[in-house]
Amino acid sequence: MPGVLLQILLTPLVGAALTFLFRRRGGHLVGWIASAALLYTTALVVMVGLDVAGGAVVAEDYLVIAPDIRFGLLADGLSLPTLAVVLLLCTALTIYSIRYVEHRVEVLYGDLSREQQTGYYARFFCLVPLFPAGFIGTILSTNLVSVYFFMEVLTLTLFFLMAFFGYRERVRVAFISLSWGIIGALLFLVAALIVYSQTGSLEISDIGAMAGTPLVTLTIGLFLISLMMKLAVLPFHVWMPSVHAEHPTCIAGLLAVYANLAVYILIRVTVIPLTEDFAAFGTPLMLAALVTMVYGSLLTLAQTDIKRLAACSTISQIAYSVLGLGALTATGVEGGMFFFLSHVMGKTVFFSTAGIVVYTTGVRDMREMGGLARKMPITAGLWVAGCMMLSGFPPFSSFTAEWIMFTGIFERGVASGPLGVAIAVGGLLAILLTVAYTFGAARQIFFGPLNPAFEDKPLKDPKWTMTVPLMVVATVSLVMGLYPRVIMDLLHSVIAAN
Amino acid sequence: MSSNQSALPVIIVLTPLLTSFVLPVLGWWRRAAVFPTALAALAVSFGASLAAAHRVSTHGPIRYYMGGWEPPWGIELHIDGLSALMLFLIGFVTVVVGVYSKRSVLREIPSREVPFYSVYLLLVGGLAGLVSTADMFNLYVFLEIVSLTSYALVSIGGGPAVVSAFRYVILGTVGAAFYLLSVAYLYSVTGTLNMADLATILPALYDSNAVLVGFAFFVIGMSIKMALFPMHAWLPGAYSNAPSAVSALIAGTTTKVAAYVLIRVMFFVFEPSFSIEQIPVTALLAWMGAIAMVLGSVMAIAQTNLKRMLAYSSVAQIGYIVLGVGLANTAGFTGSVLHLVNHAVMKGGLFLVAGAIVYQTGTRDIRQFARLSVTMPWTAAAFTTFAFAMIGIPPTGGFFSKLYLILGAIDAGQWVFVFVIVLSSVLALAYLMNVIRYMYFATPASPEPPADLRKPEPGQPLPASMLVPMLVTAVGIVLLGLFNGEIVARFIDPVIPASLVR
Repeated sequence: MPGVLLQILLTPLVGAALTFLFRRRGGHLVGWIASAALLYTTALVVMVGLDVAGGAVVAEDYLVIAPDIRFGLLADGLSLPTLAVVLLLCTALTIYSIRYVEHRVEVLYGDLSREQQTGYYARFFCLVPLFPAGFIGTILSTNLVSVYFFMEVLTLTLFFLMAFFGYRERVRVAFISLSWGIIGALLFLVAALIVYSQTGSLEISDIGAMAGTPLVTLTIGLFLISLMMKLAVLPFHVWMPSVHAEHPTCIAGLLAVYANLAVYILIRVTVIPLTEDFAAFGTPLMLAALVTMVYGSLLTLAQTDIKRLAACSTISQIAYSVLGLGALTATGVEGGMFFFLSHVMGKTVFFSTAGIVVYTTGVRDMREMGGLARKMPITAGLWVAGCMMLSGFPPFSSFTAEWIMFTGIFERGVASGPLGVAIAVGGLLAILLTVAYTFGAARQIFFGPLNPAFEDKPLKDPKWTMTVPLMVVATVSLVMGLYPRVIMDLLHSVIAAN
Repeated sequence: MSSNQSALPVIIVLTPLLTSFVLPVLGWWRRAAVFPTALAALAVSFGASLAAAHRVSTHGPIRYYMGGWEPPWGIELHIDGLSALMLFLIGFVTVVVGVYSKRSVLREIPSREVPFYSVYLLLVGGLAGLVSTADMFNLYVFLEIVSLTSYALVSIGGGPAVVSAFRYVILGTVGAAFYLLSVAYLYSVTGTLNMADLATILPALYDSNAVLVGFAFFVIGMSIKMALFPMHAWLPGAYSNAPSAVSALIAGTTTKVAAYVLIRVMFFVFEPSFSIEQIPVTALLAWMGAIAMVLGSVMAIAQTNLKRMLAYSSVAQIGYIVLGVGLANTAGFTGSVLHLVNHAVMKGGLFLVAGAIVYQTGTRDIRQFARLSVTMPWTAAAFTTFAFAMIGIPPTGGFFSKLYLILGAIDAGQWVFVFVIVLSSVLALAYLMNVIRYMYFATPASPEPPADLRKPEPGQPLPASMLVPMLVTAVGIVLLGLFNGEIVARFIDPVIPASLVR
């Protein structure tokens, strides 16, 4: 199909435009329009995926904005699996939001007239397709400035969604995340321009020409700082806990992708083209990641607020993929990517289930819950699945990912001496903390005696639009865990080639 | 240089100038005919500018000898890529503000529309003449036309605007005097006023004290005229107290043409090497620009009056333009010119938005903008677009000019300026996003705003004649971004002085 990648990029935007046209229509119509657009895009990605799995590389080149700012799209073994998983999550979360956002609008804008409330509801579905559009652009773009542009799209979309639909501190927190996002993106741009001033090209494929030049360390350093701001790796983690605690739960998974996607960008713009020069940054990066893992896990263990729990866990989880990346062995990097994909799926299920609990009970403090499994069996099941996906239990894909990743980390550790081994072992131990907080929360919320306060309330599982998308995500994770080859071969074809 | 003669420059300059004198008579006879006539004159001038821009990009620079007198004796109008770009900009801003001004003037300065439009056209004629003349003294005349009409337009609002206009007059006149002295010094040693002629004679005289003093006076005079920090004292008052349409007009044009004159004389009358090596004025300008960028933004953050905030932000944005000049390489030059155009459009647009908000709600206080996104969705959307352009978010024009500026700083190896540009963008984010925060996310404060602030009855939508210009400008700033490659290739690249380092 000609221009299929462009279609993939434009469909969410068309969806947003249609949503805008129907913004005055009440009901769930706008939500379904946005969801339909995303479903279509996901189908297209799967179609291209079949080609790419067969060894093809789909590349398209479009308009040129300035002589050196081109707009090209590239689907290869690295970008396509990432895109497929990300879009799956976007679609699932959009469908999930159809009911959830209705609830948020009622809570936040209950004092407004009916039409104005409809307006806010439509605003959500007008904004939310910009997320997949931004992800698609960031993942597929071949030009550094395009990548920067789509990063900005994501930052701004996140800002507006947070500030419109988040919790109590939403506007302040939206500003925090916006500032971090824009500063990070600007540093990325500066790094890109240094590349340009040295090589005369902004294409990602030409970054390799930087290798060995005097400014290469500065460039990689800037790229790293910029992306670590997104990844919330220590010491750039400040924005993450508060942001994750206040945003509307329905975009939690997207926020995890937003942060974790920087791993992909890092691989694209530094690890692959500048492997040699990047090596110097490997050990410091791994150390930072390890510290972040432990810090994030301990922080999570201390939470009682169900939303903050999920929030803090993202910090440690993202650091896992950074750890794999820092190992700089093919296996480590591939494992890091695979873990990124597994983590965002797990995070989506885990977080959205937390959202369901808050949605049905109206309580955020976990200590006030308990025994909910009896009232909400499906939700409890999803939560346990989410726990397993996050803590890397077989048969879910994170187990496989951790397995592969730690193989890579140990390869490097054994080769580089005691410090490397120590980092690797430390990383393994940190997983234990994850198990502690995920299952600890499960026990507190769903099992044990039912809180008397809920005894008489007609609590039950929510409508299918909120649970089925999550089940699909869990199933995909399961399949990926059982047949990791499909994804790993694709990743391997790009990463190992360098 | 091909001799590409055409009468277009005369049409561009004289149509508004002459119409300006016709209007008072017309207004005496039939008041309703004033606005359409003024608008028609603006449209003719803009149309001729477009034709001239097309001709310049296909045939090269246009020249016209006034009265058939050849330079260096007569006055020459010379339109190269840079002038064509400025003419296009002036035409666009003045037409858009012209359409917008109708309702705004009726509301803010009722019964004074005849003098308003007469002076408005005089200003436009002055601006057009300023950027197309190739004669240093003629330039002074146009500069004074522009300045005097600006003083008049600022003070037409009455009240505090008169005081601001007075400050503007004092400082503006000092600036103009510096410029005139500079021309006198140059004339005393060269005996010519024609720019091309000066450019050939001057290099031999670069060591002459008269030339050095003339050049220094010129830079000081223009710095005052374009409100370069720390000579910006006149600007915040003038911008914030003037009637809305006037703020948009002068923010979009007057300081920009002063920046144009700086670029024109520094790089085209003098050789770049003179201002880079002979007296290191470019290094000085770069630093002053950088300081303006930071301090202007910081002061903007402190404002609660929207128009005052925009005025301080102008001080910062002028800093970008001057920084680009000061970098003195091709990327810096391109960024400077491009930012000049972009900033004129986006700051003009922002003042249009501010005017619309004043028109609808009667307040300029940012803290009272709660739920504006519900009551005035399109205005809020336009503001957001301009704000993104100011911060430099692609694909708006503001992004690309900053891109060139950062590139210029990297090429010059001046990392501190890279940092300053990034810092200033973040500061811009801070003050503009603060407005967006109030517009979109704030809930109205519990006490009702004072009754006198709610002049218009609620439910009355913004007139289309005010809304459309805003939206056109908002689309314009995005198009400027998307087609920046074209603009650079057609208008800026051909005029970049060959001796400028890459």
